[in-house]
Amino acid sequence: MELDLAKEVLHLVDRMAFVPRIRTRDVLAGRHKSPRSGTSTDFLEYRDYSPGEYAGDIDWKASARLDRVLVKRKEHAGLIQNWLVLDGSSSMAFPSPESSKYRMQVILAGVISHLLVAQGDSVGLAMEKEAAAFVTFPPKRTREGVTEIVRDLCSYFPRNSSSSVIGACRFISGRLRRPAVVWVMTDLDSEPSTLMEAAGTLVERGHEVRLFHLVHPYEEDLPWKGNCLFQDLEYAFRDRLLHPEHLAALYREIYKEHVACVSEGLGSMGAAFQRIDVTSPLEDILPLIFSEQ
Amino acid sequence: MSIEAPLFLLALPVVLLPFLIRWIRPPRPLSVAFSQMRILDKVLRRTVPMRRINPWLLYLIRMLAALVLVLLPLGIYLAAAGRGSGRAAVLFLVDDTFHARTRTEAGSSLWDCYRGIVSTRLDGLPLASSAALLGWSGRRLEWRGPSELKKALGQMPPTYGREDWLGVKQGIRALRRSRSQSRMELVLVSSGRAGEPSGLEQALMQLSEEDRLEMVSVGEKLLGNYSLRARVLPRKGGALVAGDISPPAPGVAASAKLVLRSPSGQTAQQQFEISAGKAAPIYWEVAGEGFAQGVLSLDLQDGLELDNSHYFTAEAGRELRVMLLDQKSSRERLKDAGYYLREGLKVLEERGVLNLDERDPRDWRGLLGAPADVAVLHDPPFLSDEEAAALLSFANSGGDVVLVAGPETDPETMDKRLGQALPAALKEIQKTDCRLAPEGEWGRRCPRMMATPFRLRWLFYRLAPGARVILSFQDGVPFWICVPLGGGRVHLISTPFQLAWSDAVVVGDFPRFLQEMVSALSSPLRRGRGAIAIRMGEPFPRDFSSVRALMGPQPADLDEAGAAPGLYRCVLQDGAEVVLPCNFDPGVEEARSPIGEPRKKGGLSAPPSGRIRLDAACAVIFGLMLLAEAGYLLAKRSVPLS
Repeated sequence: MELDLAKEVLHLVDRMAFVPRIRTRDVLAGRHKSPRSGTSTDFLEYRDYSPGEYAGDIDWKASARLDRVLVKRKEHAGLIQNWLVLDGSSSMAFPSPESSKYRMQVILAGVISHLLVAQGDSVGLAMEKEAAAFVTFPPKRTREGVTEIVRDLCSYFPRNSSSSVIGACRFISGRLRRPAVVWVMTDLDSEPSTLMEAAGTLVERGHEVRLFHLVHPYEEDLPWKGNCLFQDLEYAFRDRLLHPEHLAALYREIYKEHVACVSEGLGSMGAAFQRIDVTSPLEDILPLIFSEQ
Repeated sequence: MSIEAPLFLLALPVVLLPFLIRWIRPPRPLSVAFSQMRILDKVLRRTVPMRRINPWLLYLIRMLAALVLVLLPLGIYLAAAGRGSGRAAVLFLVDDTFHARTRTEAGSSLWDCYRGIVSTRLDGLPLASSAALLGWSGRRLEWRGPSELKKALGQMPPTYGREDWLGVKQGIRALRRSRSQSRMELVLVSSGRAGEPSGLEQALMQLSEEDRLEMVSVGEKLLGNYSLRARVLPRKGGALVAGDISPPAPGVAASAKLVLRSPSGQTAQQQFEISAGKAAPIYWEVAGEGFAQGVLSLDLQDGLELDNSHYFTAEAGRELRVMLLDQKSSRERLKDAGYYLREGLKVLEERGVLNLDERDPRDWRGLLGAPADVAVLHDPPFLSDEEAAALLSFANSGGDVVLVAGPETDPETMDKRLGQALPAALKEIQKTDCRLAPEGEWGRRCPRMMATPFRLRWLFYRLAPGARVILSFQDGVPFWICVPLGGGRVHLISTPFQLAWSDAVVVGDFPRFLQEMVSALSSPLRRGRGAIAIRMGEPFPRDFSSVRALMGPQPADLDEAGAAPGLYRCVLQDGAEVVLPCNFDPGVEEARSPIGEPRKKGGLSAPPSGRIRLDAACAVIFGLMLLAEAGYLLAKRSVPLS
């Protein structure tokens, strides 16, 4: 897959910034809030002086006012890890290689990585290509790292793959040592309960989960008519010969239920859910990616 | 074996239609690589029971179509088997003429006896048989079941008409065609009288070798029933009563007395002996002035009253008696000058329009007193005094003399011999390109004759006093002139009927043209008499000489309920219209006119059966089902997503 994240695309995110909700515990100085007190200029709190502390932290004016010795503590601005958990299943190849959900996924992954790296955050990647075959990139803060990620993603196209984003979520949840922002991109072609379980595990461990539902309008509307052979992109034995116009209404109803189940479930556990129409222009999609939810 | 619904064979190619559609455009579904099969499966799990209905419905339709395919030939086979069991269709040929009204000694009529015979036969037929009835008068009841025919026969009275053997022949042919019958059983029901033997024999010649003929006659003793056809013709010094009396049945001989009463009260009588089974001709010359306007009555001397059950005098007019005086000019037929006229008159004789008598024009003695109404002299080269005198005497006696001028006609001789009796003097033969003027009925009945130009014609001059132009050319030159002479008339026609003078003799309606001429000859030129009602059985009043034509009840005669009021019209020879009691049932079909075509009103043919044939219905349903399936297959073609 040829992909060139040209400046026309990347410049769209130049003025964007991402502020995660979670607080980083990274000791390195960065932009994001950290539970540690540090040398940031942002006031955190006053605390009584304890003997042996650095006397330079004493706030003499406050101490004189309150008639006790107080130490001013400042916030610690640290860096945050971001993990891109992508869906490498064959269903991401819909509707065609030139306009597939996977292509949009790679574009978004590249753009997100570019922005995060620009603001000093690190970005890693986890994707299950085949069953239990994962590709991972440890978080890096360099553009070369982003390039490497994008190049690897472009070298792959999901075909006959029975992988799942759930597997990737589980893979990284056992490996993350510090709170991170997990960017999950999937087309929700999996059991909602299993997906929510994987997402819930990440949330419980203090990670911020942002799930993006990549969808093509054809998947929602089922607009075909006549005698159609529906071929499963993942399993060959799941082909069905149908008249979709007879089933469209019921299909839309069930599809909405499926998506609502996932979004409500994620919302209840504090994860973010956003629907991304892969046919929309990037100018419309990117604000949705980085909006606070 | 035959197929009862042969039109079904046209539906058979429809069976191939679904195969053709599948072969030409096999249904290829659109392949869609879909990502959300998980959800689609959930949908299918919910809708599977509904999806399974449609294929079953299609399967049911196919089974029904297969069932029809099996039942239809079976039905054909069973029908053929039933037909082959030996019961052919039965056709009853029944005498329904006026003879059927003859009473029997037992008190019933012959018609009741005929009905009884036919009903007994119908009761013995299987229910699946077909039977029809053809009357000697030509009317018929079409093929139907035995019980239906018996019911229709019960409502059918006999006619007052005579035998129509041509109608019988046509009826047999039509009934055979309508049923596609290869074999018929014919039952001839009559009183045993043969009628006109040649007529019945000719009618029965329509039967094939496979048909079976059975003759059934009534053994009852019959009482009197006669038919009188007569007219009174004026003759010099008296009158001529001509006609015949037809007896009712064979084995019945009787005496009849004709009485002619003049206006002055004089009476003349003539006894006639009627042989069994034969019509007695009447040719009674009555001497005495005034009898030409006399009243004719019939006395059968059997003590029976003149009522409608026994006697009636209403009859169709007899044929015009035409005497053709033409010497054959060549032995070769087509070169004979009078060939076309002779052949045309023969055609009319065959049709019953006239009675043709060919004579040598030099036999002038035979012309005197000849039993003829019209004497046609065709292109006479010479006319002797005796011949001219005979012709004039014939005309004065009430006959019509028709002189057809031709290439051999000598104007001087004509003028000299006939003088003022000639309607106009002959001038010369002129070349022309003119057509006849299509006036009135001439143009309507003989359009081709009117449209054919003549090459040569005689020019007339010096019209005789009282002469009238009956027909002329489009430029006004007379074609046919007539002048009254005594009791008759003398006619002059300007062209002979030869090919050299006009192609009109070879156009299709030349015989019709001659018929119109004969019709004009048989009627007087004056019109305008009022209608007079006459009761059946009463003698004709004085002013009537004979009945020329009978017409059935006209629409204007019917009452509000559509029934004839008991009267019907007659047009007499002198042009008067006579309203006679109508004993025909409303809607009776036929009254024959000697001039022109038989007039038919209504009909006694039974309406076609309303039974729907099961095999035809199956064929229609099967064809519709196949078309429906073909349409369904066509509608299932895939439509690519645009």
